[in-house]
Formats: sequence, C-alpha cells, structure tokens
Amino acid sequence: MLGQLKKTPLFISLIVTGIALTVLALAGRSYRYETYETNLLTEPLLTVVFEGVHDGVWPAGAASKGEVPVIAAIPESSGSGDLAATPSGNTAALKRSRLPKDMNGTSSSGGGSSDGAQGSVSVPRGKEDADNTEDTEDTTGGAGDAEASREDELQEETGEEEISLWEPVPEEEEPEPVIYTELPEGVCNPVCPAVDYGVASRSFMAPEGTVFEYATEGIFAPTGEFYYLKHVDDSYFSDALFIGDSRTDGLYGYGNMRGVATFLSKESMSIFNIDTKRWNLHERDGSTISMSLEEALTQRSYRKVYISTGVNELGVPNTVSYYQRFRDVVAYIRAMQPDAIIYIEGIMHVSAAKSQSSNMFTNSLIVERNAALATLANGYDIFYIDMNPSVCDEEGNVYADLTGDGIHLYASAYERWHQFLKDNAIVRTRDDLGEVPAVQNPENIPNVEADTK
Amino acid sequence: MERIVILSSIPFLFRFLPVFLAVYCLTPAKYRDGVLFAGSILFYAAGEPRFVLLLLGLIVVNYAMGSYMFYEKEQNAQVRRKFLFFAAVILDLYTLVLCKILALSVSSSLLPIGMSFYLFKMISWQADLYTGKTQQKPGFLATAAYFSMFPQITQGPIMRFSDYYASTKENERQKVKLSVQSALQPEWLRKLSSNEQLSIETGEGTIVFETEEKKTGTHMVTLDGFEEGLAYIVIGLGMKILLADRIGILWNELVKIGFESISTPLAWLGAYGYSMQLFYDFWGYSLIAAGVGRMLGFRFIINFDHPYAAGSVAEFYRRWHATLGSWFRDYVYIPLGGSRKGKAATIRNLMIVWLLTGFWHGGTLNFILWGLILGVIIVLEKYPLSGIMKKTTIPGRFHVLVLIPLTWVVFAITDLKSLGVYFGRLFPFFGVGKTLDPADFIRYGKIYLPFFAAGAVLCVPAVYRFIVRNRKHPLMVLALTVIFWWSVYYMVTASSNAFMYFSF
Repeated sequence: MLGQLKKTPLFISLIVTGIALTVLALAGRSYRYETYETNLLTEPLLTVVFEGVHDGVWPAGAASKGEVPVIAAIPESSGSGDLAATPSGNTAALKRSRLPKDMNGTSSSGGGSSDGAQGSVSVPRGKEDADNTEDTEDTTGGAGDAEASREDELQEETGEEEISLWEPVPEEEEPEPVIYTELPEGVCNPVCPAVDYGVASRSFMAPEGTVFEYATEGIFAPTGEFYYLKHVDDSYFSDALFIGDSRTDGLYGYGNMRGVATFLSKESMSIFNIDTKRWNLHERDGSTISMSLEEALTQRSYRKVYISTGVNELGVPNTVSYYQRFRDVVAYIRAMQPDAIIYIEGIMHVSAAKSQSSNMFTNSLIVERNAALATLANGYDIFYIDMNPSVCDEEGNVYADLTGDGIHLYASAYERWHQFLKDNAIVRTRDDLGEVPAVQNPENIPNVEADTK
Repeated sequence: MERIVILSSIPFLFRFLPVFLAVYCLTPAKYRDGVLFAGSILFYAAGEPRFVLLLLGLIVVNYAMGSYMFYEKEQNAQVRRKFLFFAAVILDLYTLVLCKILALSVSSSLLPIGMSFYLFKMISWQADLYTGKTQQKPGFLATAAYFSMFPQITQGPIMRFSDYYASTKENERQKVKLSVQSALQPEWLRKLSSNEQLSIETGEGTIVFETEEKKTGTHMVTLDGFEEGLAYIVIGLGMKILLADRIGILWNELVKIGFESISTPLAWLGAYGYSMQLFYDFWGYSLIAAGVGRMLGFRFIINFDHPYAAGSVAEFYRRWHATLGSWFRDYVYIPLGGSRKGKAATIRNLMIVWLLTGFWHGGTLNFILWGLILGVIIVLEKYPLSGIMKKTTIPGRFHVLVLIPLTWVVFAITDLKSLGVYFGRLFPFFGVGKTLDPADFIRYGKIYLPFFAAGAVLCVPAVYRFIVRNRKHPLMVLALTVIFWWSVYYMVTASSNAFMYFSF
C-alpha cells in the first residue's frame, strides 16, 4: 500500500498541504476569519486563508505594519467641540471638522444604527478665516435659517476686504445665480440629481422636479454662500493631492497632469482598503514612491485634496456602508489636512453597453452612490464635483467612443476630465490659487465655460 | 454554481472533480460510461441549464441516425446509408451555423457553451461510422459519454471516438505511427523504453512501432494515470492562471488606453503579449482537460505540441490546437481531395479549410480575414516559398515568430476599424493615431517582463519536457505544489469572489 502511494507524490503533497490549509482556516475561524463567508457547497473552507492573505490577514500572528486600518481609530487630537462620530461609535474629535449635519448621526433613516453622537453643526461664515475654528458658529435652524440669511451672508462676504480682492468678476458680469423656488442646498448635478436614499440629510437634496440649468456654475453652501466655479490654470493644482483608483491613475498618466499635481493612486483602491494598503505616490517631480494614505497625508500639507473612488466598491453592498465609510475617510482627511479644500469627486459613470450588460456596473447604482456622496459636501471646504457631464451623453452614459472597456476612459479622453477640473475650481481666497499664482490679474479670471460635449 | 464548467475554477477543482472521481472510481468499470455520461450532463446543466435539452436531443438523434446507418450497413443498403449520413451531418451543421448566426445577430448567449466542440465530435463520429473506421457498433452510453464528456465539452480537445473507444478495449496490440516529435513525448518515451514487446520501424521522420497498451481496461483508473493526470492539471493551471491571466492584463490595458494612443513599441509588446496569453490560456486549458481525461483512464490527448518551435505556419497549425487541425484535415481537406488533385485544387481546398476554420472561431469579419490570411501564408509556403524554405529556416521562423503574432492581432480585434488603427500603430507610417506617452513601452515592459520571460522559456520544448519527465522528483513535486496553491490564490481572489475583488 505504502509502495503504491509512493507512485503518487504530487497527489499526496496536495492532499497534505490542503489538509494543513484547512486546519489553518478552521483554527483561524474564530479570531481571524470570522468575517469571511464561505459557501461550502461551492468552495472549500481553505479559501478563507487565501482571501486572508489577499487582505493582509494572516492565520496567525499580528497583521503587519501598514495593514492596520488607520481610519477607524482617529485619535482624539483636540478637545474642540466639533465632533464627528465614526460608525463604530468611537467618538473621535476632529479638529475643525466641518462635516454636514447628518455625519453626526442626527439623521439615521434607513441607515440602520444611529451612532447616537450628539451632533453640533458647525456652519462656517463668510468672513471666517479658514484656519480659525473659533469663528464657527453653531446653528440649529437648518435650511430655513440658512436661506433667510443667505443674502446677508453674501453681502457680508463681498463686503469683506480680503475676499473682495478675490471677487474676480465684477458683479454685473456674473451670471445671475439660478434662483429656484426652493434653492437647492447641496451640490447636485443634472446628470446625477440627488435623491432620497436613506441616510442623506434632506437639507442637501434638490427638491423634486428641480431643473439645474446652470448646475456647474456654482455651489451653494448651506449658509447661503454661493461659490462660483472658476476656471483656473494648472498652477491651481500645484498644491493639490489627487487620491483615487485606476481612473485617477489614468488621469495622472494621460490627463496631462504629470508634474502638475501630486497623485496617490493605484488600481484596486477602494474606500474600504484606502487606509490598509500602499499606493503609488506620484510626485510632481516625476518620482513615484509606494506610500500609505497616512504617510501621504502626513508628509506635507495640501491646499486641495481630490478624492475619487467608487467603481471598485460597486460590488460591495451597500450604498449606506459605502457612504458611511466615505464619510469617515473624508473626516480623516479633514483632520490630517485641516487647510485643504476637499473635493469629493462623483463616481464617473460607465458606458451604456457596460451598464446594460452588468448587474453591478450600472449607472443607476452609480447615480445612487453619487447622490449619497454629494451630501457629504458642506459647501464651505468640502465640495462635491461631478465630471460626468464632460464625458456622458444626456442619459448619463459615458460616450461609447470615449471608452474601451466601458469603465475607463481612453487615454485620449482624460484631457476632458483635466479640463473639467480646470473649469470647475473653487477659489475662495488668494491662498486657494496654488503655489504659483495662476492669474496675475484677477479681473481676467474667465467665467466657467464647461464644455460638456 | 455555473462556474463549475470552468475547469480552472474553485467549484470545479474542489467540488465537482473530487466528488465525480470518487463516484467514478467506486463504480465498476463496465458502468463507468453511464457515470461519465450522467456526470457530464450534470456538469453541463450547471453551466448552461437552458441548453441541456438541446444537447441531450442532439445526442439521441445522432446516435439513432448512426445506429440506423450501422443497421443499413449490415443490410448493405448503400444509398440509404449515404442518405442517413448526409442527413445527420447536415442536421449537425445546420444547428451549429444557426446558433452561430443567432449569436451574432441576436445575442451571444444563444450559442450554447461548447457547441462548436461537441457538434464536431458528433460529425466525426458519424463520419467514422460511415467510412468504416469505427467497425463495431458503438453502445449508446459510450457514444453519449463520448459526446458529452465533461473535461472536453466546453473547450475541447476534440477527441476522436477511436481514442475513446480504444481505451475501452483490453490489451490490444496496435501499430502506432508517430512523428519523431510526438515520440519524444514522455508518455511515448516511457512506453518505448519499458515495453519489451516493442518492434520499431523508422520511416521518414516518423517512428512506427507496435505496442501493447497495458492496463487499458474499460476506463481503467490507475494510480499512474491518476498521478500523471494530476501533474498535467497542475501544469495547465499554472500556465493558465499564473501566466496567461497575468499577461492578459496587458491587453486589457491597451484596450483601456485606446489603440490610437499607444506607442509603436507598446503595440508590438501588446501583440506578443496577446499571443502568449492565448497560447498559455489554451494550452493550459487543454492540459487540464487532458489531465482530467488521464485521471479517468483515457489516453492523454495532445492538443498543443510546442507550436512556436515550428518551422513554418503549416507546421505551426499541425501543433496548435492539433485536434481541430486534424479534424479539418480528416473531415474536410481529405474528402475534398486534399493535395492529390493538382495544384489548383489543393489551393482551393486549403483556402476552403482556412475559411471554415475562421468561421468556426467566430462569425465576425476579422475571423474570416484571419482564416484567409493564414490560408494565403500556407499556400505561399507550400508553393512559391517551398524552395527557399527547404534551404534555410529563416523564412519559416520569421512566419512563426513574427507573422503569427500579427495574425493573432487580427484574431483579437473584432472591430475592423479598431483593427486598422492597431496596425496603424504597429506600422506607424500612415499617421494613424498619436502616441500619448512615449515611455509607455518601458512602463509596461517593466511590469510584464517576468511574464514574457517565463512565457518565452516555456516555449522551448525541452523545458516543458524536463518538467514532465521529472515530475516525481521531490523538488519538482514541491514546485508543482507551490504552483497549484499559488494558482488557487488567484482563483479565490480574482474570480470566485468577483464581487469582492474588483480591482480597477
């Protein structure tokens, strides 16, 4: 018998290693792999070991450095009154947090657990210095108050000395802010109208039936401030960090943005693994270093942080968990980069063919997720921008001749994204313009002319 | 569950195959046809439940017509035999062409998985019966199991019924005629060295020998065969998962970038990358299929015999997907007259065969174009170039190593306009497209260099033979074990949980 078995060394080797892996999986089941599900009808238990290896979870021993999620445990760095609660219930005090109201857990419809943190909404005012938290003022009035005071606030802003230097276009040349019967409070886009998806704060949603005629023209803050989206040139991005997945990587590679901005990107980035894996930091000088999000946000301060992930998460249920996690990541970036404008980039849609042939990569799901993302903007230092009009048809599908795989733009099409970013920038003060002033003569900052085709 | 039909998937390797093997081994040999048939139908039903009845119907109808043809043979009714034969072939072809046209015009889901393969088996089965190559009346279960056998039903190889049948006969002495190349295959080498009752005659480039097939009982499962099959499965998995699937990402990158924006060196890298992807994907898959067959007690079916070591395109296609090539040779080319009816008829026959081969691979114009280009090259090799090619190996090598990768580009790009753009980038003399990043070649070259190197090394026949010959050496066992689990890692993270592991 033993002699017979000697004839089959490979078979024995595979059986032995297979049993060993199964033992590892069983042993790790209670403490390492408890979150992994296996359908034993179609796959053996040992697959969890491989999934663990993929995620950096080893059957024994501590996870190695750099693989510990950093975002779930934001250190209590200050005793300031601005609180952002993480979904796990940790009360993490975030200095200068200006996240919207529902981030503090006051709205929890459909979202499952309410973390119960006492939310105080810090609403910025026009004359506030970006670095000064003391200037924030708690309001509890919500939309109504904001609307009532909007005109005053605008007045106040234009009257403010520092800002007035940067009111680039004379009042009369500004397009009239589009006044709707009910002003939209969020940052919504015709391609992606905000819808009630559960945990979203209603105050950031467009009223039903709102037509966004000039939606890319400006962004309303809940206080009533209206920021025109300005055209800027590339120097605007010199102190910007772009964080994102393969699509952002494509923007770096082919969007004529090398040397223009700093990128932290790599394929497979998702909002869930953003703080556990290492990505490529493409510096403006052309060097590329492997770096974690934490390191990238620690090594330097940025004036703008653009974040764009979402396509890798489409298979992960559900919009609520995506939204909550995104919220925590934004809070983390806020804490790490207190002076930066955070741009939440709406997820780029997919082509019609992809959307129809897939049950996950659908534009309807992307629209749903974008609507949720849009509510994360506070219109003051966190903005939601959506580049989809620059690559999509009227139905919100990415033009078929702009994409090969339905998900990524052709290299030659990334310039549209770049242009969109140049045409839709927030310039609040001179400091926002980048290290090298983009425009010598502020009067000449052109109006927004978003080429949407 | 539907992933069971993919031989390189977790559900197949860890669920279907072990369970089936256990049942199959516990079943007495004479009932194994039935077990194989039943298992194969379950296998097919898991992947293509809508068309399982069509498969069963075709099996029954083909068997009925074939056995009636056999009956007519005994009655000596030649006309009716002929009628039955042509009716069966036309029925099979009609079904295949209809489904292919529906797939092209309505939805690609209307072409049942593996139909191109099992219908070709059915046609060859009918033809062998008609011509008398199959002499004894085949049983229903043997026939049905042959048509549907699960390792081969999705992607071949297109085994002949004689190969299925041969393994069910006991200790048959037979004459085997082999090319020298095939005789160097380890399986034959071992027989050549171990079989005492061997008589060898050598002909021109071939070895003819008489051998006694040992242990070829009815689907006899042997430990040797089991271990050998397992080794082929592991090697095949490694080729497919670790090499083809990895290097295949390069082609996806090019599609993503858009052909009009790639640099010329990257276009060439892409052409070679795609060629390697296709080769190792298909060779790997064929090895897995043949390995499973070997475990079940069948002969090892050689579908790929180091094509890139060939000295001409004609030889390349005798070694590439050999079971398809020999099918076209035996059931199209030779019945048309082959090369025995003069130059013009030979050229016509070759072009017909290659046109059909193109259509078999896919109905779109690029496949037809692909087949025609190969037909033309083969005709050129056979006539105007034959003189030169006898003197020097350079033109033949050039055809295999440069022209063949270019033909794969034609094979890969179904849209003719995009195909034109790609060739515009390969040969940048026509101002098609514009390089967006001149350094793209270096960037991707760095990433894929290890895969290209591994792919190139494995193209050398001696390397593969060394691995197979030494597969029982402890170090090789270790290496194969690592390859297996490494492949499992990719299978787990890349496909079985596609939901969780998008990596864009």
